[in-house]
Amino acid sequence: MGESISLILEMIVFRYGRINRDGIKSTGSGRDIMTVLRIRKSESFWMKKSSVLKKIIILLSIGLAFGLMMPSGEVHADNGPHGDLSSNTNTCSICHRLQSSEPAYTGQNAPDPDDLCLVCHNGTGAGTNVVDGVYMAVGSPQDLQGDSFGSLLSGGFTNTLMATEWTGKAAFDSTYNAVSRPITSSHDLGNALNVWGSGAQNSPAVGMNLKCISCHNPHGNSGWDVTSQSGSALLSSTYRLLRWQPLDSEGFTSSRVNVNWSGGSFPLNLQVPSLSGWLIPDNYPTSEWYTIGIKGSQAFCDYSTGTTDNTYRLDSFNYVEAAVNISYFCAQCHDNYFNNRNLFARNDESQYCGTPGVPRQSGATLLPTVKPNRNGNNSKDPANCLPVYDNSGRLTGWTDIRGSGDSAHQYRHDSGDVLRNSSDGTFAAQDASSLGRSCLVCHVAHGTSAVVDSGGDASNLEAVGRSQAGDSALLRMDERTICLSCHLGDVSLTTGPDAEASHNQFNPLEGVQCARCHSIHSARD
Amino acid sequence: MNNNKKKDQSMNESGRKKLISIISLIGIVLLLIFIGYQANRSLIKKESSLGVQFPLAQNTQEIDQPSFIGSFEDLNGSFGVAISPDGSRIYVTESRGERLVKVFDQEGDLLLSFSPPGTGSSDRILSYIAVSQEGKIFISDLYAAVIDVFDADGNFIDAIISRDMTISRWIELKTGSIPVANSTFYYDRLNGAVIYQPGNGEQQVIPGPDRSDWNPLGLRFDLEGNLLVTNLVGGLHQVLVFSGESFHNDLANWQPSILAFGSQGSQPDQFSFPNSVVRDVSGDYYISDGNNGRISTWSQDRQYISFFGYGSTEHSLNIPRGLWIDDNDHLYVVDTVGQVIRVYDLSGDTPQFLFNFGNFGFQDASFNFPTDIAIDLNGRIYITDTGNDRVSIWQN
Repeated sequence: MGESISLILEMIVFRYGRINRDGIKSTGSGRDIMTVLRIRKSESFWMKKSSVLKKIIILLSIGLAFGLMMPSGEVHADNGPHGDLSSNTNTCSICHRLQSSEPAYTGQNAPDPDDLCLVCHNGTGAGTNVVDGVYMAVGSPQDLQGDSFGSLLSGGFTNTLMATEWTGKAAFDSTYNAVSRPITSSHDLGNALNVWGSGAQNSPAVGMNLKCISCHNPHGNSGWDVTSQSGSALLSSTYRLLRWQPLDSEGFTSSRVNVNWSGGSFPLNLQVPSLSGWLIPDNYPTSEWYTIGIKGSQAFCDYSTGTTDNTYRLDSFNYVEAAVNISYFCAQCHDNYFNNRNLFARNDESQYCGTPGVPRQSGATLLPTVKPNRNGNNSKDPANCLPVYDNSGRLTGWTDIRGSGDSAHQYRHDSGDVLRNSSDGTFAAQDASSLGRSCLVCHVAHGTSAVVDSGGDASNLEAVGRSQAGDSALLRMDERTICLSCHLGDVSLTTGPDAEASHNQFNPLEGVQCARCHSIHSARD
Repeated sequence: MNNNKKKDQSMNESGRKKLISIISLIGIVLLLIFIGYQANRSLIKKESSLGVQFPLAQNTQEIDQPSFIGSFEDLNGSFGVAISPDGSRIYVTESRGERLVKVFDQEGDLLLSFSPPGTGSSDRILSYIAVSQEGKIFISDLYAAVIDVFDADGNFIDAIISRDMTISRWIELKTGSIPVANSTFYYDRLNGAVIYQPGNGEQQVIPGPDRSDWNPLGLRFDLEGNLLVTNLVGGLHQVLVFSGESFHNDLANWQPSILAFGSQGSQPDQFSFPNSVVRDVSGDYYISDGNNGRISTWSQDRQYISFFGYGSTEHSLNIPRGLWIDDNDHLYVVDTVGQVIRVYDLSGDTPQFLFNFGNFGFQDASFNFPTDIAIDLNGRIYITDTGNDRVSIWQN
């Protein structure tokens, strides 16, 4: 800076010095703007020019002075929870050993980056204790849970504070039976994991090794792009610093794209086209706007290409619903499970069951009407339901998705809807509408302590060759009781020979019974 | 012609005056630029300089550095460490696995282990530990947000469940009598209640006291027997000093005098997740201001003095955690992310950096996210090497 000032000073003084020395007679071959002063002009012209120039210099100088006095700008628009990452900060040195010869966080003989995260996120340096799945609110005024000590929405990697036990009612009591227990399944850090809902049919991608930074960007995501994704749009803060796409994932973009977002402007205030599918961003790389939603709300974007002050707002428009929520993030790995209800026409035939052995559209019957008689025999026993594909292998009514033909995937939980409120490891009753079936309604992202251990028939499950007996699969509740949170009315828990409902023989409180007949996710796997 | 010449001269004179005026204006503007630049520099450097950070010069004297002599291995996520007054026992808290308090002798033999009553491994987070002059063991449990108190053999005595309340005193206030012998009691954070079972009597659930300003983390005793606690409540990261004499009596009658200082933030006199507090022989306080990446110093009358160690140089602190001051008035700082122990001389007017020891690694004499430190009277240094599941032992 000092050099710059000296340079400016030298230039100005020198040039005016020459003018003084040479007077206006000088016709030197100056190389800069001041050369004009050395061209003889009429006095009036010179006086006028000098006056204008003087004003310009003064204005520029004052502007420069004010500019220099302004505080430096932020590197990241959101700063994330990791503090002031302004361009002039030394905060980087908290986590990075600058100018040190010590190894970075890569390589075999380097500190584990997960350990670095857990230095603070064990409760001693952050309110979010992801080890124990609790929000300790120690030192953070942002108590997102509205409590000084509550469950993390995502559970924990070692323990969780969750109410996983079936309460006997669909309306959840947020304080019911929340206890801390060791996890039974997790997105295990540092170990190779199967990626269900990905890859070829019934053969999940194997060996994905997750770290904290696989999903979270510790530097924040908005403002300058720190994830090597090109672009310059300034975005509002992101939800939990989630990336647009987890590291090492193959990524996912919905195949139904009606508008190319990398092109024109975002369609402001556009409603969902009725029954014709929805607008999904295809390859807009710089934003992570789908994760900006806060719990219990639909977050929407009024993004316009080239506008740097985009803002997000919460309102009733639902034009980016399909991708705004967390499910689209999950789908970056578990892509086969993504099935947003707005993506497809409502005549999705996959939700129908047919006559046993007749896997075609004709004769299809809406599943809820399929009730076996008291003897358990019925011509439309849901256990015999098969997906409805046309001759080309497409699911009937789906014009762009080719079905796999996997009989285990005949049902369709839309998984691309809004992220809903959650507390104590379950979701709140007021959010239990049929509109929102986000991945996180049933699953946690870090780890769960739900128990699946009471046996049951593990055959005919979601993925052939995979036994789910004993696998809590990151579910929020024990066994398959998460199903009851919405479908209690479809199930009679009364057992005995006089029970009329069929489901009494498949007590959902035991093991994997719901999944015996029903596939949970979309029909694309 | 002459008129024209005079006119030219007059114009030249006028032009010179104009130019002088312009140069003067430029000078003023440049002065403004300089002032602006300096003002901006002060803004830019608000975190790092503030004109009050202790400059750290490296001691050029030859100083013997500690030597690695061994480690205690039978641990899982070793976190806090403390030493009994006679140095014969080393207490270590675990942050993983069963999360026990393990007690070793000087040879590294495991003598016993224990844990707070009413807890399992999933609902206790044992962190820092300190031993009083009487040999009582104080352990901060982050999950319950209490300070558990045990005798030297790991028998539970009581717990501090709010700033000025122990369980036994609370029971007395609520039931009219102190807990009877052979009774069981503990604090249940999820229900915000004291669970009290008097002997063979019926279990009682007693709603607990207001704890909105209570969330203890770091523990140390100073030379006067005062308990130094870092307290992490949202917006109020503080140091609390509990009077030493309050621990001489029965904790059922505990009514300490409490001194407090600090708040949450990144300003010089603020803290962000302070972990440890120690005092030197003159009574000044040294706080590992963890997330601010510095050591904060306060006078014995709790006035902010300065900070040091902050920055981006090789010897700057990353995230300081455990602290200890030895008999030579040397401050030992466990730099958890820096993977080293940094040592400062406090005997002069300002702290002086002496040396580092250790580096990252999995072998002996290496650290993998170390956390806490304690030094006995013989200069034996115990460091919890958390990521390597051990206590690393060095000798001065």
